[in-house]
Amino acid sequence: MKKLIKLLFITIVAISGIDCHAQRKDTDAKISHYNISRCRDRKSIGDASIRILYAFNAENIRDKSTWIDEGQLKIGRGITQYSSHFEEVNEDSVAIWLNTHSKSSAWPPARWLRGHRPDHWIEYQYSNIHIIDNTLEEYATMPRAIETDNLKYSETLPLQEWSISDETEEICGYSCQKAICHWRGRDYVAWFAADIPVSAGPWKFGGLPGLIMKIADSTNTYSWEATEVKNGTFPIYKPRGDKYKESTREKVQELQRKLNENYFKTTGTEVIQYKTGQLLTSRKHPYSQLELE
Amino acid sequence: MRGFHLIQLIIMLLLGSQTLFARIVISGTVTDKSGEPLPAIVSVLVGRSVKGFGNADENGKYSISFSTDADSVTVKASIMGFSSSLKTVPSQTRQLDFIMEESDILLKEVSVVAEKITQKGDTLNFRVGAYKDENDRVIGDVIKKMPGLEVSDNGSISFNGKTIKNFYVEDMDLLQGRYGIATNNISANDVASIQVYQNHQPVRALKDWSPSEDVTINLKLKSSAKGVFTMTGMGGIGYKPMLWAGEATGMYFGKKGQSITTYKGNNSGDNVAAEQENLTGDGGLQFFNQAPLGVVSPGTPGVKQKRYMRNRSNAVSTSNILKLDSLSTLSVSLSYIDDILSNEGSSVTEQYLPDGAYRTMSQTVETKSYVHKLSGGAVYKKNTDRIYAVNRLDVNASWNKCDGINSLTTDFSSINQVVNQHLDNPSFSISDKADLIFNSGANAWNLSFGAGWNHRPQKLSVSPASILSDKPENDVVSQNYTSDDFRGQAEIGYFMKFGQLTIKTFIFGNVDIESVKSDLDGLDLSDFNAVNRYSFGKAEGGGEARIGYPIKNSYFEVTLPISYNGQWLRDKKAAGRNREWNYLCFNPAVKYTYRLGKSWCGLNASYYKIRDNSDRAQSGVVMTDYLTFRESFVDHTLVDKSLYVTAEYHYSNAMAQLFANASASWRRSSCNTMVGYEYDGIATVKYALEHPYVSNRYGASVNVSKGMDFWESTLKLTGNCSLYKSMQLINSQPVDYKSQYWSANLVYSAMPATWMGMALGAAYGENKSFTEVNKDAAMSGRQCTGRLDLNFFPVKRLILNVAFEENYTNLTEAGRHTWFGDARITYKAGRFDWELEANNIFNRKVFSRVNYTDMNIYRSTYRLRPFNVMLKVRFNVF
Repeated sequence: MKKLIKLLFITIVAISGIDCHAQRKDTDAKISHYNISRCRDRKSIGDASIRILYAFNAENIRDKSTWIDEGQLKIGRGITQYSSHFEEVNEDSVAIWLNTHSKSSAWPPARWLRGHRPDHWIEYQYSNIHIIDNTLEEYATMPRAIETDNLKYSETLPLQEWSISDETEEICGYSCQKAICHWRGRDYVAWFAADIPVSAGPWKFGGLPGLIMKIADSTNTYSWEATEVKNGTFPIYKPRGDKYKESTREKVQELQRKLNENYFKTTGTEVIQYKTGQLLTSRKHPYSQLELE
Repeated sequence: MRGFHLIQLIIMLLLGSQTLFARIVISGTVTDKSGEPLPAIVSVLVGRSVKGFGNADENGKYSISFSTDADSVTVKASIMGFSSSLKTVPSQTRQLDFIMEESDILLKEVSVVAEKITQKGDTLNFRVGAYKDENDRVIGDVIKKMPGLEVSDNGSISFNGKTIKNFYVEDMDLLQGRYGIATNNISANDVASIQVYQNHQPVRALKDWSPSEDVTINLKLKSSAKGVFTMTGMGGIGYKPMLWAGEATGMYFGKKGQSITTYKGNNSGDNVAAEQENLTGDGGLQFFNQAPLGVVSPGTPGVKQKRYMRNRSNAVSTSNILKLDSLSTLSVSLSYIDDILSNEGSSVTEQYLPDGAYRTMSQTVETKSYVHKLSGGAVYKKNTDRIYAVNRLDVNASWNKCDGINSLTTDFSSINQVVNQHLDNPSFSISDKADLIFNSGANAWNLSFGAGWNHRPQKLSVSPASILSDKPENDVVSQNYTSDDFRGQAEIGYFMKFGQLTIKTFIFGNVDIESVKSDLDGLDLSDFNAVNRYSFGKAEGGGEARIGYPIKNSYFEVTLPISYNGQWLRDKKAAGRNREWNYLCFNPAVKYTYRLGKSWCGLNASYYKIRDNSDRAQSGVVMTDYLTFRESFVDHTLVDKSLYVTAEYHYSNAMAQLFANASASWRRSSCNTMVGYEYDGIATVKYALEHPYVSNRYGASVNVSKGMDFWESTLKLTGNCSLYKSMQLINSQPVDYKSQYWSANLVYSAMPATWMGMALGAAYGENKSFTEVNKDAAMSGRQCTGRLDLNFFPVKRLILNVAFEENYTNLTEAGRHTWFGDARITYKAGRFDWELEANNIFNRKVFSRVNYTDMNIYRSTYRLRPFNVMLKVRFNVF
């Protein structure tokens, strides 16, 4: 009965588009300091011929300042990458800046980042996901204070078990069909475009007979919606493997959860408040990880 | 999980789904042409709806189980890098194999949240569609609404406080600075984006040698506008008086070359010559020979020319550029302007006297100018990383005339006289400039040469002569003034690098010879010399070192030019006046820029000491107009020592559509020669006397420009102020005076609804000139302008535009407020746009404007064009 109620709730949310309580960047974790060498030494491992941009956790799809991130899905032959487009634009700008100011030993303090609280860290923005054949690799970039503890892991490409319904909706100029699934502790409603014959989607989602254009979990804590579909040549940058320690999904997600819940304690950065002399501890943040299992 | 599937089943049953029908299984293999298995995704569709799907395994095998009541289904196999394969088969269990063909997927491109401005490095892309509304016809209309971009009254564009140096179309310099032709003719519908190249160094060979703060604009065209020849036309008639207008424009923008040819003509007041002006200042050689003669006419009133000018104008121009190879181009341009401009009005001039009083001269003025101007140019340019070679040839010829009829009265004499004036004002100039830069990486060579000639034979006739003299010799007083200027310049540069330090050294030589012949006939000037026959020359040779050093985000440059300057006078009438002067000159300059992220600031300081003897060359009187005579009593060298300091700050945040800049300047000039005015009856004699004085000019300006998502609007705010402290000789007495000025300007454009657009402009300015004597009595000139444009698009094909404009000036007795109203209806029908426009709806007859020049006040009243209506049709020929 509980499941039935949950399913009905998914349907209601999907129909009404109610924004319940989207995950905000309300942690104390800030993005790491400039990684100049990452911008300067970026090497493309191949090119994608299609790029799809997604609004991640958007309050208003028309206003990028209300988004947590702009995700990008790059699809090439034999390789698919999901990463942050906001971050890539920033890295492009830094790379161009370094190129045009090659003699400079400093760099601009301001970044070309945007979105809701652009200086705050969230794992769903600062993770690179590569899918080659049947293997998924995640490169997890950590926030300030533990930026040297970047981690990576690989797992077999997780497949969601989808049920397709006849419902359709137009998203980003494409007619999309509805599909639902339960995956790693959450229920999802997805809308896929059969006219885009790519079995992929944002984050780790895929496995439908068309590209996932929109997906949200039943609590609307996590959501993606496509905002741009583009043909072209898009270089796929892979983070330098030697800068990321080998780990497992469980360990990475545990660390990410702790960083969200209590950043100062997790990173061991004790900050004493100037006025009160008290130790600064993270506020209690309501946090619910995307992958619960 | 099992429960979850059960629920799904229940839901499907509740929905009366197809599970009631028998299960069908379609299976098979997916391979490429060579038989290699492909892990494709296979789906079963009924209509456009997916009923089932499955992935082929590593052996290419798939199996899909589904139910349907349809007679047939479509089975689709797809995988990246291969074109989708579709097969329609009867709805029954069966084997179905696919052999896929390699092909790239080309998707329908969609963007639902397209950025208004994007930035990549120093390049900003302004998306035209984000700022354009139905009322915008040409690209210039849209540029005005973009935050950070300003379009001045003469059409020149600046970005965040910097006037642009280059204007490209698809990265080609088609117009060679005359970019008004592009902004006024290229359709807004043909341009995808306006690209702003900040810190742009157009010379590739100098990229590593000279950091640049210059700004270049590039029009990025839509693919539909590229590689096709388009021709548009316009014809219009109107009343009153009988009005006509016509336009024809042909354009081609291809990969190998570009071309724009235009004809524009009208008698409805539109200025067709303005778009032919070179707005980047990189034309041919500049000539400094004087053409001092003119007809007395009031200055421009500060309202659109269309409101007051009676004209009959024709202008034709062609601009072409051909790509010889990927980095070499040849540009050829030719233009001809045939204009008759008539202007009517009256003016009151209040001339300041040393005792604090003013004397007043009132005139009614009617002028008619005949303009014939032919210009041609050719530019060859090779622009590679190693070699930059450019040669520019410019030829200009004009044969202009002007007639003026003035009626003069004064408050200090009983004169009440009609004065006729006629000016012949032809001009011919030819110049050629060549630049060659060779960059080897470690060092570079620069060679520049230029030569040119300018011939200006002017003749001014004034009648009756009695207005100027009690004892006229003829009925007509005529002044001839012919000047010829020959210029030549050469420069050799060698650039070196020592680590981060760059040193550029130059050896240069310049020569400038001006030859003057002037005669004043028809007056008894026994006490004066009325003839000039002389040549005055300047030559300099020297060296310059320019040392540049980058420190982190800063760049420091010092320029140290030292030269030997020779001047000579050859008087053909009085050989005894022949003289030579020689000087050693040193005019250093320093420049500092600091750049960080979204901001940059700059500091510039330069000092120069000019020694000039050209004023003493001219010993004879020259009548520059019938009210002004020029005479030099100087027999010493003019020495002007100036220090000029500027500071500027620029902020640019493309993501927030926020641009701001501020600048401040100070110029201190110490001069040994003062310009003075002597009033002799109605005539003002302008002369120069040895009298040292110091002047200081302080200026500051602030600009803020912000694009907002609210109503898709753009807000632009500007503030300017200046203070000038100087000294003037009036009736032989030195008078200290101050001129102060401030102004504020607001422009707001918005699209409140899909059926409406609006633009609001408001400007306020205040200026005052005063001496210690009349400090309290001196009046401030206050001027205010407001304009509201409302555009309505009730249906797709119809555009309604109404505009209201208010002009206020405080220093006139009558007509302080002048309201204007204009309206236009545009109806789009296929390839034709029909426009019905009504101008000056309130039928204002006159417009008044007050200006200060030094200590004098000019009140001008212009007769306006009456209410008129025009019907125009614009059409695409192809």
